[in-house]
Amino acid sequence: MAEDTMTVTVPQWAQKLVATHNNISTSKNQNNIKKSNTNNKIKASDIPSPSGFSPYASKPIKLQTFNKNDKQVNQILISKAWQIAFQPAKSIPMNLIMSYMSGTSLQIIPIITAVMLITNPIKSILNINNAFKPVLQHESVKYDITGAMAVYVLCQLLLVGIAVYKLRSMALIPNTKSDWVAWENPTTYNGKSIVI
Amino acid sequence: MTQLISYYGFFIMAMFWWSVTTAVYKDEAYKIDWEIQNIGDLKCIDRSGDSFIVLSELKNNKDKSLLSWINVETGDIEYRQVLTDTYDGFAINNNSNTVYLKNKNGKGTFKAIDAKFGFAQELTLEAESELFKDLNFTNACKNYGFNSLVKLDNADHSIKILDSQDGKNVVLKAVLPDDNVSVLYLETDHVSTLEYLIYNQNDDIYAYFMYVNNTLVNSWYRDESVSDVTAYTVISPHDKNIEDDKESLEIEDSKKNLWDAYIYRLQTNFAKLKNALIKRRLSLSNIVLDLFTEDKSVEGIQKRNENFGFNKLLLVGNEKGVITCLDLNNGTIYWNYKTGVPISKLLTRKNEHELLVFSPGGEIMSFDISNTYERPESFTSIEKTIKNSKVALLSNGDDIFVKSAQGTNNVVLHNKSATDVENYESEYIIDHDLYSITAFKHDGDKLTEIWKYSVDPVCEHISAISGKDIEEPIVNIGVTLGNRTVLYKYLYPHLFVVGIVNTKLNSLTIQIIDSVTGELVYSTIHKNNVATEKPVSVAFGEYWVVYSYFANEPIPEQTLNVIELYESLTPNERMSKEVEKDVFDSRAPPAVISKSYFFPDVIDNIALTKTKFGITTKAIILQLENGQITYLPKYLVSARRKDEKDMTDDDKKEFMASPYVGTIPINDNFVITHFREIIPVKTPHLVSFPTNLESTSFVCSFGHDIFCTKVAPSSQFDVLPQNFERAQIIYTIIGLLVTLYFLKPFVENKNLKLKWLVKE
Repeated sequence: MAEDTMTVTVPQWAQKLVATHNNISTSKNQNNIKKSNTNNKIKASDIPSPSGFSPYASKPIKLQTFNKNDKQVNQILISKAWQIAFQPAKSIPMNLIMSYMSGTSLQIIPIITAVMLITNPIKSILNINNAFKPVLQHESVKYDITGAMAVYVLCQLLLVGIAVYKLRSMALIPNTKSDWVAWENPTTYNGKSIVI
Repeated sequence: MTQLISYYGFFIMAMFWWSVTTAVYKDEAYKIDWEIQNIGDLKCIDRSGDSFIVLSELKNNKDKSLLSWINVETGDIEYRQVLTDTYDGFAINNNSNTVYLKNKNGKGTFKAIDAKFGFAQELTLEAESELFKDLNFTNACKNYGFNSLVKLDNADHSIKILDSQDGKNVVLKAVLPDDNVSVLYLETDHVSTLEYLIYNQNDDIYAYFMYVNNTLVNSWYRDESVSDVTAYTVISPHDKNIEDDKESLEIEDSKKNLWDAYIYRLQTNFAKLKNALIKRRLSLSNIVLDLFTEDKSVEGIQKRNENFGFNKLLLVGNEKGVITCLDLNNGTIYWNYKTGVPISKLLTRKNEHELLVFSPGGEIMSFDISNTYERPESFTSIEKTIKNSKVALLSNGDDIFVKSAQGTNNVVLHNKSATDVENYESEYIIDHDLYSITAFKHDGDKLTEIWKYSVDPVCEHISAISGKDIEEPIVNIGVTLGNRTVLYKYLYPHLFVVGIVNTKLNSLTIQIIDSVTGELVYSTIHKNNVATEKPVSVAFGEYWVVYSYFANEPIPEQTLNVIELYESLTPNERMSKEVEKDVFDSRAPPAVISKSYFFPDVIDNIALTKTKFGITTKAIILQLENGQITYLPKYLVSARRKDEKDMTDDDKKEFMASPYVGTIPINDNFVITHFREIIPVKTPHLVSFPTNLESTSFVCSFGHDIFCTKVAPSSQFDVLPQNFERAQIIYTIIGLLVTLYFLKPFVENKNLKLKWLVKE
């Protein structure tokens, strides 16, 4: 501890103060003073620091930038990415309940909700870069969040799946024979027969 | 418990049925239907109070008599009653409250009927023997009211009433129209009043006149010439607009290039638009008014009926030889023509410009009916052919099959002199009589008998036969089930169904037969003590057959049965292919299912509704023995209905699926004859004609009476209802437009601010 206090350098302003005092007290350096007076320029470094001020403060502050290889930071970024990835999953239970509650009868509101449930996730998938923007601008993690992005897409597809299931249960998806039977033609036979 | 469930199911079904399908309600009764009621061949007439009571014979039903009450003031039929026996006379007692009918067959047996309401009254043996002594029945029916003081002067066709005091002076005199009339009823006080009812045999018209002091006070007439219809046909009036449209369509079809055809259509449509605008004098208000107001004028309704295809004309012919042209929509008689020979068939050819009238004697008359509403002046006789028993127009609309009365030398009459034999589509004609079915093949130039099927004439007879409607379009080749799978319909066209009654075994055999080969496709036999004297009817729908018969076992009850033919009973399994096939190529046999139902009333006849495109649910029209006509939607008479406990959730999802209940009830609202009554005949014609509206079809019954109405088995989905709120809709649209106009700048402003990131 004692050593520490010993090594503390005298503040600059204190040094300057001492120096000025020395100048005034010694007439040897009178010319110098005059010279400096005529210049009338006092460098910032010449101004003594206020008391209690650390000598480092006067040095240009070096911003604390994250190191590109800083593992910790990357981990934070990746966890943020996963957070984004699971965001759509949060609405899955709600949508499931809503779909279940609105029934399978053909009504305009459930149909519109179901269609929106298809289009919105697709839009989100197309705008995936936007969703991951806060993370993507960091080159360091660009390749590490691919998994998160895949999960994000998966979650959105799950939402689409709910909507598709809903439309299917409303019989709006032409996936059965009965949807296409109207386009099937009967066998045609030659001749006509009448009963009289 | 099961009974409870079935009752519950029945109740649900009844509610469902009630709410889903439209029926005849009070606002439509008497407006959409019409009837021509007849009293038949008059035998005896007398007056009781304000009514004439008329006893008549039914031409088509010789073992029954008809008793009618006719209003003296108006001549309208008040009430008619079918008597289950034949009577040849009646007398009314002095209090004029009882009618005593004398039986034709049993000597001196009488029936007493309340003269006001027609209720049967009890008649003791003593009273009966008294009656036999007192009432002179033989005189009761002839020249009623004539005595020494009433003279029928044949010289000047007049009735002369002499003074009751001196018996010489003529007090009253009435001139009769001509000498073909007979006076049926006459009443006078020999002072001032004279009323009489005459009958004109030539025109089949009853006329009533009432004179007070030699001035005519009241008169009416009843036309009975449109009765006992033996032949009918329906034509559409020749409308210039429709014919123009047809012509332009033909021109369009003849264009080789699709683009040219499109340009042509554009041009014609533009010309139409121009004409429509000119008609409305280019005024916007007129156009808007036309769009949003209902034209209730007579012309407007007429025009609408024309567009809807309601303005059809019905031509009927009878044994008296009278052809009558009626409006199918409201029963107005436009014209009639007396041919003088009994009519057995009416056919139209040449786009309904030529009417062919056939007589069993062999006469064929051709009428030019280009001017539909006008009575044709004359006819041209086509070569006298053999005496015929049956006549049918072949499906090409030109050739006519004539079956000779002897059964041999049947001919086909060609319209064109030269028939294109190369491209002639073979026609299989199934002819039948009581004991046999004969199939003919017509190839354009020759008619050959291809097979014959006979039943045992000792104990069997053919009681009903029905073929498929060849003109019916096939809309869908499958039936969609509740789980959205498909059962494929068996749609082979050359099929017909026949019902054969065995009087020895009291059984009914229903057979579905291939008309080309005579092969038996399906057969079923009912041995539950079938009442062979009751009517058996069959009808062949698209892929199903409905038939009715009366069974005495297990309980005496009318049954209604259905057979459905599928390609396979496994869903989604199709056996046929989308190809053209020859009738002799091999085919998979149909998979058949059937169900039977009880029906509360005896069914005389079955017909099916016909619509323009065949999309509307088929309805089964039933003519009942009690003089009513009712209908059932096909989905009620389904062979795939099953017990509620067997129905899965998917089964319940099927269109109009309902659990099997043994009895199909008659819903009062489905009785399309409502308060009207149709006198039943042995061989009634029950037919349906399509209109231009897919939802609606005409249903007519021809026999002793003529009855026509319109039914919409799937409700009138293509017509705006009467109470449609046109005004409300237009006000709502205007309101929305105004709101939009005011809101638009606000929204624009907001969007602009959003772009400049200005906060409100």
